[in-house]
Amino acid sequence: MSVTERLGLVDMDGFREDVRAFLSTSLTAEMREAADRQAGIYADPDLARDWHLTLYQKGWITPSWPVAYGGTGWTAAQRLTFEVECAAANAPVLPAMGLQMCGPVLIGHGTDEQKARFLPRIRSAEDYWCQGYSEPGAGSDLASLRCRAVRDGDDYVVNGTKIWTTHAQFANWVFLLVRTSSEGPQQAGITFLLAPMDSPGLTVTPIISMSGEHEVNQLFFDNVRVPVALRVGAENNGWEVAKYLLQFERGGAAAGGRPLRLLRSISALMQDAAGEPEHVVHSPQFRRRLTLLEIELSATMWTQRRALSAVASGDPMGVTASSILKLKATEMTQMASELALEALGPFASVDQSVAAVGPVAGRSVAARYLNMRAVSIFGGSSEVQRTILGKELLRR
Amino acid sequence: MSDAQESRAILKDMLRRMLSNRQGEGDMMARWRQLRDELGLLAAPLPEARGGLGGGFADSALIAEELGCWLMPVPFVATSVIAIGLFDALSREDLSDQVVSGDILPVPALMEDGRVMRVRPTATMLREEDGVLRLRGRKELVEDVDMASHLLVPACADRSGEPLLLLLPAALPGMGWSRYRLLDGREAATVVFDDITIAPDAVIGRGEADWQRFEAVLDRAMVATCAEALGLMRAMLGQTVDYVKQRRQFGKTIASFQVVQHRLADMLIEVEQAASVTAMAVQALPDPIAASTAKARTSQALRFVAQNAVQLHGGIGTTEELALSRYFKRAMLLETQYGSAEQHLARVERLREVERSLIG
Repeated sequence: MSVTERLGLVDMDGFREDVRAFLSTSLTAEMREAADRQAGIYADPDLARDWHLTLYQKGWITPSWPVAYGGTGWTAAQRLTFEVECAAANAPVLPAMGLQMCGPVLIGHGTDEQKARFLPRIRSAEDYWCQGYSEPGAGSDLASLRCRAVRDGDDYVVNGTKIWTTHAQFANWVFLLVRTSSEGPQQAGITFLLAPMDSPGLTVTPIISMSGEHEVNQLFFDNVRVPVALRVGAENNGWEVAKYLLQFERGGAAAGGRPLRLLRSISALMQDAAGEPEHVVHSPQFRRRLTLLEIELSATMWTQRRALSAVASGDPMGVTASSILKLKATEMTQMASELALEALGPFASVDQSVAAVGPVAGRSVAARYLNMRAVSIFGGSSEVQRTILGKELLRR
Repeated sequence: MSDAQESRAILKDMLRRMLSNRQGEGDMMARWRQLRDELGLLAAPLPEARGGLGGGFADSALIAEELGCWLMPVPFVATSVIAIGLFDALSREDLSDQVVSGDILPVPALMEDGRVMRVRPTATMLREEDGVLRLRGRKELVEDVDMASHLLVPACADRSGEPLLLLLPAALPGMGWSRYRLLDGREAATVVFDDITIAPDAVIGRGEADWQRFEAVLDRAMVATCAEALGLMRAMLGQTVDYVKQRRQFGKTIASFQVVQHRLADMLIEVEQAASVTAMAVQALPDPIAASTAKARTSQALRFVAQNAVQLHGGIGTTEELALSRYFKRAMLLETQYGSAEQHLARVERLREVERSLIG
């Protein structure tokens, strides 16, 4: 069994070779090097755009979408293979908000007009989306959100705030959850809207993360008018739409993507330390932890592969898989970022945003360690995921 | 209460009062001067005959813990524990007095290769030629270089290979400096000695006996670092307890969730275990096994407590705005300062092997 097979990937009809051939010619050395310098959750817009358009021209930008909307028609295993190969080749991490969140939501719940208007522009990178879900008082308890939309003629008038909005400063559109009713259960009064970021009354305030970077924001809605035509799904049915998206957010992408990219930087640091026998990366303890991480990675990739077939056959695994995969992706990402930190050693204390110091392979390591603290918090915290799993298990 | 306990309580109270209303204000040098001159922080651990409180290293640990608690990363360990500790050990009280008075501020320049924490020098060479001393080599990650007047530099003699301890003025001509910033906002540098000439009296220690003294001083620095880490942990746990009691989700405080309570319990256990190994090492000094035991265990605890403090704060815990993020980054530094958990576990294993072989 080859390494990639252990990661849950079987080469079918030379598919993997095709992907590799494409990556070796289209993913330029400049892009790979630029991707090495990225420390955030997603690649910076310029880099992301270069890679996005490369995939778009190849026809591979939205493999998971139905063929009618621009999908590739690949099997689930092929899609995973593609993602893993991209991660292994150090392709930039594309923002998920349009491609993996808003796009699938519109395909599942949008009107024909919405689909025709927005889907092509997500694919072509003409639109840049951000996600307006969390609020200062509604994090893990998302359903308690209070950002309010009141119907006024053909518009909703939106007032309130959204927080942790990744890349809102680059986005021209936001999809958001708003409260349209206070009657009945909280979940039953939520509506899903789309709004242009240049809407009058909508302002963006930066939030600087502890790595010193500006990746997330707070949005303020002051009497922002959103046409009813930009509502996705029925009024007060937004929670169903959101749940669909959350499932996608948690289990849609290859769980091994981030850990694989971090493992690359660990390998580079190990090479850098080759001539230094006292370096921690040569210790059996470090090697053992690396091996344990690699084992977890292959287990998780196979969990994902099994989940993809289980969904098709109605197996209960399909229900729990998205939480399992979110948890495992999170834990592996954080473990890999810790191992990278240890592999870098004392230079991890340097603020590399001021001056580049120490091994080239270590430049993004500390910032990534800091930024990856958030992966166990966003998209449903690890505590929330475990509650979902426990409840589901006890419900059976 | 014994005299020592009483004076320690007074010291702690004074420190708290001075630190509690000055968090994050003014530049580090101004804050350091105030602590040094108004509070007499450097003199505190010294014998009463030399103007101190006579509490010895226990007072150093107490001060370090308070500095950690209030996130005050002043060069206390570098000056009080390392510089004064070494000067006293070499019977150079004249130099210690200059540190106490603020006339000099020496910082250690320990690492020849920033990738590994190895103190014993192999590439920082001192050569004697026609009665002139010339130094060649480099040191990475020298901290607080913006405040330092002198560097404390371990080197080796080029012919004999014997270890040397040098005290060099930071302004010595011919030193190459590349400066950068650390995650906790302090300044550090890589310093290159490109065949520079040094004065004969810059050599303050020489030979194995002096080197052993220096290693013993570094063990104390390690334990003082554990105490500072303990202060950080106590503060982070306290901030987290306060936060979960006021943060509401699902119609109740998140403190009412058992998963949150259990996590807090695990954090508390780590803090207490770290407090215990640190107290043990303070008592056991100059035992190197105890010092490394404390550093290994405390570094582990520090990572756990820091990570979970952020986790329980949720999104707000990952922002620069919250003081917690500055504690988190300081914790990252202290985790590897004077050696990581992994390195000290290895040292404990090595030293225990020697001990066992001696017992037979």
